[in-house]
Amino acid sequence: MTNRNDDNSMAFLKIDNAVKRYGDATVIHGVSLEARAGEFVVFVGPSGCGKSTLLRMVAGLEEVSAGRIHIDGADVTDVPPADRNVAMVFQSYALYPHMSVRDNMAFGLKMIKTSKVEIDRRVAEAAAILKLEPLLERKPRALSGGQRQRVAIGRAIVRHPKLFLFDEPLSNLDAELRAEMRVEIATLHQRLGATMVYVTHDQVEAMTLADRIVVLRAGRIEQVGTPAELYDSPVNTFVAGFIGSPRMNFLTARVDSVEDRRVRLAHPALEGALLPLRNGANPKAGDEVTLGLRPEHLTLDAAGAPVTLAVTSEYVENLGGSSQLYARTADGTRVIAQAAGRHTTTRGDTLRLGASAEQAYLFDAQGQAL
Amino acid sequence: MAQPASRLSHGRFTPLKFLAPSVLALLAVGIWPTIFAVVTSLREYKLTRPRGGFPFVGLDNYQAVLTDATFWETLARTAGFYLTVMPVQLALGLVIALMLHRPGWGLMRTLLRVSLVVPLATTYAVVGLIGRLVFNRDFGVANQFASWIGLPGLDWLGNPHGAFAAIALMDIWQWTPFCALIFLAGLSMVPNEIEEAARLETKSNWALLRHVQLPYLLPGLTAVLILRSADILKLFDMVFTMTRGGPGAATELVSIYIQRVGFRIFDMGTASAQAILLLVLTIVLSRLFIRLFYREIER
Amino acid sequence: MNPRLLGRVLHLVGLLALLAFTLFPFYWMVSSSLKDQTDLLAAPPVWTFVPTLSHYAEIWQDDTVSKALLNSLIVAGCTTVLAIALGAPAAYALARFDFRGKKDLWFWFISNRMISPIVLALPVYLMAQGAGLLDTHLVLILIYLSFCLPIVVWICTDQFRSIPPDLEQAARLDHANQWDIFWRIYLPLGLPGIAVSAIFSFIFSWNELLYALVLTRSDVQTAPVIATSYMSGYELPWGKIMATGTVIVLPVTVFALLVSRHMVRGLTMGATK
Repeated sequence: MTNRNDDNSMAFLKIDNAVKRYGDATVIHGVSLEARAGEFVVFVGPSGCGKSTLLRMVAGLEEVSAGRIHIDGADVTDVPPADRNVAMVFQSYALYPHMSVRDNMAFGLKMIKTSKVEIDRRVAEAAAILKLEPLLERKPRALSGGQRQRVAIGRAIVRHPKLFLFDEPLSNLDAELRAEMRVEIATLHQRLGATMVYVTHDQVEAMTLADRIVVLRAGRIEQVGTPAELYDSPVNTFVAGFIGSPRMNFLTARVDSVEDRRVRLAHPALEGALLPLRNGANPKAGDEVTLGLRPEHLTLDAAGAPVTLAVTSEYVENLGGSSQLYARTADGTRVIAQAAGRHTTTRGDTLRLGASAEQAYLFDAQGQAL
Repeated sequence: MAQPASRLSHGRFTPLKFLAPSVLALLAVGIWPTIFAVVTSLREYKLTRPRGGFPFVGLDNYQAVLTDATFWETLARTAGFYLTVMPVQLALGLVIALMLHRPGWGLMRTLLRVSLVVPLATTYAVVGLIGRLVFNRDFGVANQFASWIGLPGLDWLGNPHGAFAAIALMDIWQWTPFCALIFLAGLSMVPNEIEEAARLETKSNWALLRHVQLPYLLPGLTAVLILRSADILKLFDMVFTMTRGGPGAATELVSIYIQRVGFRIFDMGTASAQAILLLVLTIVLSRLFIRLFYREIER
Repeated sequence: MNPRLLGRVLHLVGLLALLAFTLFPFYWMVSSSLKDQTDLLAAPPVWTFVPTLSHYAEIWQDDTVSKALLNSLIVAGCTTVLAIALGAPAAYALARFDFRGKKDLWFWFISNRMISPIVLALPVYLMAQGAGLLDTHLVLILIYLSFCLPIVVWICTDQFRSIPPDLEQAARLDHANQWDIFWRIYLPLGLPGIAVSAIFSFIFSWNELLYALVLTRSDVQTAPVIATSYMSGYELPWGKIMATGTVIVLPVTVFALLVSRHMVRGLTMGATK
């Protein structure tokens, strides 16, 4: 079995039907996926979906109940974590508290008996990349959250690992710092070109950092794709509702009629809902469907819009440069619309929101995309 | 640490009312007898030979004690005991703690952890009794174990070295769980993620212990060293029931010695002087303990 | 063999060996108490035998033992009650109030644990002799406070500290006075800590030997004291001794198992935090 992959299209990381059980409970149900060398893959999903567990199985911190894990062509399922040549950045940074920043970074290399010269070189290199030079002799408790996170990343870099793993690294940082670190991580990826697997519950991080996103729910993969694919073509309502902020609006409607690869929907608040069908879907008249409309695709003024939605407004959130309108349709469904500029409304006003047929999403009664 | 109710208006005397009863009680049973002991130590106080009252002799008793070879021998013996049992208890305690910390066999581990309190709670006097039976020359199980590994049987309790070894072994049995529990508490304080980060960087359990876990064990280690030294100065019950300090004076630790001087020879003056000296030693140790302990907390 | 499996097997073997080590003397005592005289004196000792309860029957009929157990119960019980009654309010004050010298007071309370009993035994003997209090329950109860009170104070202070101060402030707004707050809020909420410290106090009082040896003659001998009384002579009644030992040790072992989780804290007075 060869283990040098020059062919870029070969999987660098391969998870083959991985299953994880705790006693009687199955947490990961036969997950399979592949990542190419140099790819940035993000595992995303709600709390408890198993994304961290999956990451830890790749790291070797969790035993695999069934299935195999391959890194760079080698089967590492039974290999101890330290021998897998992966590095991990933890949510709580996990820096050794009694060691200086330099020693923290050098620890892994010391353990595999790297020469002092080489250690110093690599530490200096990582410190330069992450601007940690002035901090090298400090202890972790003397560092801020953002600095600690960078040390944690530095510790991963010096080992020149095959795989970088990130377990919700930005969750403990405040919003501003998070945005800053996101850019740093993206820059790092560009610079190092290493394969990175990143776990987060924040879909913004997923959308901005990922080459490909893996959406997980309850231990199963819902969809794998590029950010654009997930945004434009979610396979079900879960993915559609998870990706994109604010959350997509969902309306339950009935199929009125089907004509010529287009379907007409009936809903008390909708007018002109004549939507194209994709994916070879074949709904029949009378079927229940879910219509998805993204807040950013709704216009507050329905003039000239092919599809209109009648709502009663409740509240407007003014964000300075844009506004978010909270409203309800006649049957009580909450609708959010986002528009640039500042808008006001009075509670109880009736409005017509506009949408275009091409930007609408259609799902069947089970939530699958049509 | 403490979060006192911020600037709450309480009468200036209220804390006093809550504290007074206990403070008074401790003063009565602690300080007052100590003062009495000091006074006694300054008198010639032989209960078997009352010489028209108990005359004041100043520091004569102290002088006698400090020049008494037996006293120093006893202290040396006690120190030797400490140095014999401590390394074993620490090493064994660490091994137990590591085994209890390592995941797997959860039920078994819980069982062991709970059973660790049995030696600690067993009445020390009874431990001595058990020791007498176990180390009995003829029908003691210690000699049976020895024969299983090919060693000849000993007259443990009739032989100075054997007796010393016997009390050491019983003390080790009784107090290793103490060390183990403290080390276990220290190990549990190591955050999970740090252990995992280390597991990604090294396979070696030894490296993990030395570089990652050790700093968390050090505060506990300090506590153990000092508390155990105070305990060994106090050690009486187990040794008394097992050997009465014999054969000869082979196992006469300092508390047993003082008790003999005070309640067998009934030389209260001398015994009081010895006890006060012991108290001074204890106070020095407890100051040390508290200073070291609180430095750890401040970190 | 798969290294992982080997590791697990070794782990189990180690755990079993340690379990045996921990419980062996206890087991030996109990099993010896059930052996008849010939089995006891067998050289080398026997591991399988026909058990007998004759020694326990012997103790049951022996007044000395039952009286000693009763004395231990009385002394340990009263000391515990007294220690809680005095110590809990003190712990509350140390936990919640700020006053000069608090730290020093604290240190003083705690350091009492380190004092060697022989230091106090000598003067207390003389004092008790003078006051005619030798061989009474009272003198033991009082002297036992010297080590029970610090334990109660430490554990309860810890416990009371963990009660959110907001509760106290809310009570103040309802015009509660200091005593009400202590009695109605801190005591009920601090019950776990109080219970633990009570159990520790009981265990240490029950097990105490030196003071009891020195301060009692025949009336108030506690259980550990009579344990030492069998030690003279050549033909030692081992069965009876072991049975007595078992009976003495059983109550506190049960108690200790109840608080096993708090063992570390109680013994080190929270030194390891």
